[in-house]
Amino acid sequence: MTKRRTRSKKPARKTSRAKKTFSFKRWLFKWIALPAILIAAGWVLWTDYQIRSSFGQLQWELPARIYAKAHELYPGMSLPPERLQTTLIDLGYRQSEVPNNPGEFRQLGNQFELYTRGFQFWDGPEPERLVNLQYSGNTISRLTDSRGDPVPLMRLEPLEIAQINPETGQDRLPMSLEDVPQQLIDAVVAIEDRRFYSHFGIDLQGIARAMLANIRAGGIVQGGSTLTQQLVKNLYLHRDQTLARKAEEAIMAIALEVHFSKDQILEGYMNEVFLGQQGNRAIHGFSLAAEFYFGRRLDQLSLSEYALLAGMPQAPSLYNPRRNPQRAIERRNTVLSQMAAQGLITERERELATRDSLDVIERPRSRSNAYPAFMALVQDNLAREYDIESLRRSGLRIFTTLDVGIQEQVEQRIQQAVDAVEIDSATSDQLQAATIITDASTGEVRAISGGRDPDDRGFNRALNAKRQIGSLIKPFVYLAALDSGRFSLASILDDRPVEIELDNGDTWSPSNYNRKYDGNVYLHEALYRSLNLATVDLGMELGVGRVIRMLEKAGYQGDVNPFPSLLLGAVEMSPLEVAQIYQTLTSGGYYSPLRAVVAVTSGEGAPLQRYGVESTPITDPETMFLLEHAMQSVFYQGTAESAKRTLGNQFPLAGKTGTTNDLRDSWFVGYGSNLMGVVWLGHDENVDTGLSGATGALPVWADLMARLDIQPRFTTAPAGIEWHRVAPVPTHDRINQDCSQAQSLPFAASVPPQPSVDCESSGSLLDRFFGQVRNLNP
Amino acid sequence: MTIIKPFILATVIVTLPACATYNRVYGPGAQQVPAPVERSEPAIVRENGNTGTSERQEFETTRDSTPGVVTQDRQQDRNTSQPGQDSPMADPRDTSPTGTLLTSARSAAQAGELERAAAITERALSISPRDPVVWYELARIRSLQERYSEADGLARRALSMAGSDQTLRREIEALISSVARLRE
Repeated sequence: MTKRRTRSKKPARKTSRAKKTFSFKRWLFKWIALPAILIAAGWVLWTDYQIRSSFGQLQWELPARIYAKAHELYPGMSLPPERLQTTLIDLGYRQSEVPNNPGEFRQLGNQFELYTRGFQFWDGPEPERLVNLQYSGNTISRLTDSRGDPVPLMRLEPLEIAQINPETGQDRLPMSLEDVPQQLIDAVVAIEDRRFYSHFGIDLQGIARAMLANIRAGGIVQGGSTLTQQLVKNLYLHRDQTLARKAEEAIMAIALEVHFSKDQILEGYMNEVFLGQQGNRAIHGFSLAAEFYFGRRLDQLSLSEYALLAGMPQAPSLYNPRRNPQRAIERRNTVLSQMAAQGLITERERELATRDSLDVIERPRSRSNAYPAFMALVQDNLAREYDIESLRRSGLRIFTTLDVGIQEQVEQRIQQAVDAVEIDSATSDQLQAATIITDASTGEVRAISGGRDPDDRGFNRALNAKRQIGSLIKPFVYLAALDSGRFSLASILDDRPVEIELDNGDTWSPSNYNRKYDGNVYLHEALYRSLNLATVDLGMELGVGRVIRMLEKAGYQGDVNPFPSLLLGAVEMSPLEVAQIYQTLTSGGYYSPLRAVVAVTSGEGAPLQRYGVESTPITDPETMFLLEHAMQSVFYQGTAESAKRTLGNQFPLAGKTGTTNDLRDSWFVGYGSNLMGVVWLGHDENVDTGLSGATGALPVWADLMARLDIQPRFTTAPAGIEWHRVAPVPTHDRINQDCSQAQSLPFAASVPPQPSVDCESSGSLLDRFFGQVRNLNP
Repeated sequence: MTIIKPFILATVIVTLPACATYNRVYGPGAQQVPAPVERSEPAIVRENGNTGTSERQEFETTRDSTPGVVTQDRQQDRNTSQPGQDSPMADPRDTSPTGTLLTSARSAAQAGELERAAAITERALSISPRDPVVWYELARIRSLQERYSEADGLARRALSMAGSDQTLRREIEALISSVARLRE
């Protein structure tokens, strides 16, 4: 306001003078000076208006932050000490002799002293605290706080694994001025603009001093820019340093001072200032810089660390404490001297702070690039409710299900594991792989790799490669059969060549994988040995429609052709779709949608969305128990028997191999009580791999699962299950029954074994007789 | 629905002092504890004549299920069509990780923060995924949120893990039938 008044006075004086002189001057005034002044005044007004409105509603564009699953710590938890240490270092914790700041820890033998930083989770805050953690072996045996009281459980902060950045690449953690420590404010004002609180936007004294210094030095060594000018320049003007820009900067700075308080301007500066670069991510503001360089919150830093940060804005890359530690220390000490000279700290404080070492954390890993395959699923999940712009701007916090430990293990291991099974083939196309690991109970996705090279940013096969699933479909055929109430594990199937006439007049004549056939087989054996002909026999009896309905109940949402070939897996699915339908088996017959995102909060931690566990039954517990029994037999005596070498100690496990025509795809899906894993191997060109499910994907799966510590799958038999010994040879003829090597199998009470194979002697003579009669009349 | 609400409130008040009815022990490594153990490994009897009990699979659960003391107040739960806010299965004295979480989930539910209660319960689930009580608690919360179809699925899952714990089975079955009534 004041400016406009001063400007408008000048023309008034000129006008009065002009009246007394030549008309040429009047002409000059009228046609040149007046318009110029009007334009200038207009420009000032316009600038003033712009500053008022834009700074008044200044909103930082904040990237969405994406977090991995937080580590729970509690007594009885198994987490090898090395893994805890890696986790802490990933989280930017610093080893320290005496952890008395958040973000520090010390390991002494089997004990950890750990000062956590605290975090605002969806379900509430986790406080920062100092705890003592005792190990016995790989298990946490004691967890106590600083007073020695037991802590039942706690969470570490979640690791930030990625950001969805604004297009500018700017990242910051905005904070209000009252949260900025006074010592940092003192340090910044002392070094950058000591008359900040007394000038009106530009510091004439400062400019004069700087000019003098520059003339003396014969070049530019000092800038006279105030904090206000720097803020204006960073926010609105950017690089080029013309005189006009300088004038504009000064006017804007003054306008800013007129309309806004010193505190508002300082707050803007504290959040805007550029302090470092990591790849294409620009570190802005002291709050984020504190985390970036020291791995701690701003209010958790020391005087020397404030001085270091305060010294950086002048030349962030020159004073980068990681790259140029010596220069950074010199600059820091300059700041400390300035503070002492201005009486902001005592000489003693200065001296002590000068002796501090730098203590910057190692470069935090490049977050925006980690785990591309998993991140693709996260974006998929988020796209249902958030558009990309709001993700780039509103600073949301996204909580995912990723287990960094599992993901890292998968990434480290997958290449070697695939190398070990790959067969040199005629094609130059490399054998590819996709892996998905999920939590067996809840459907949370723990890890994904979309290719053999996990850093491959190209084709994400885990989500996008649609391939035939082959025998992976069989459990759903058998589940549909058991669910129909007409079949038991000891139902006798016909494993013989068959010709099926299709609707279009063609005939379909499937064969078994080994081109042999077995005649009569038990239903459960047909599943664990993956017999094609017996499965077709069962499926045709049952009807393809029932199988499709079972697939849909298990969570498959794609298209299916209702042809008999579906019974042998003529349906294309991505590994993720396979993971979804198998998740339903893994969770005991309950459809639980796979989730990569569990919660979303605002940048301040206010709860927004949550995606909870769901669990919809697709069949009864008895039926699931029967299927599970057969799926465990796959490991004990079926197509996955070879995994006994690697995983024998973790049995019982359940799973299924899958192989497609001409060995184009090699699949394995297996699960224990804690984890499920899907492994697919194949070529992008869809050619022969030379591998079956058992010789390709299975060993890779077993290799990964042994490292991921898969847990045995003990399953409770529901009340409705009864056990019968059945004859080893499936026969419809009671007379041939040989019970000397009977095997015990579970049955639903409503569907007992047929008398011709039942070795229980409990049946009466009459029962046996009627059993015979039933068998004579099929 | 609105007619039932006062009943719910009444139930909460009545059942508040009676919440510690069920003693449940969560030891260290709680995720192993609640899972009833039995291998469904195919037992193949090789020797002729060895047809004793060994080839039969045994199905006792190894869980020591302390019978809960059912207080009279709990009866009132069943009289209303909504289960009360207080979980009959949670024990505030339980300081195991899962027990601690269930206790704080319960206080969140009492404060009316049902989704927060669900979030905390799911945290317990990640520690004890095969503990029927945790699934039951989650089912109760969903039912209080009137998300009945979810509640039904979760409760059925709890039931399928409950083994031979009759007290717990009765609780879960009561929840399933109350949810079924409310769904109509």
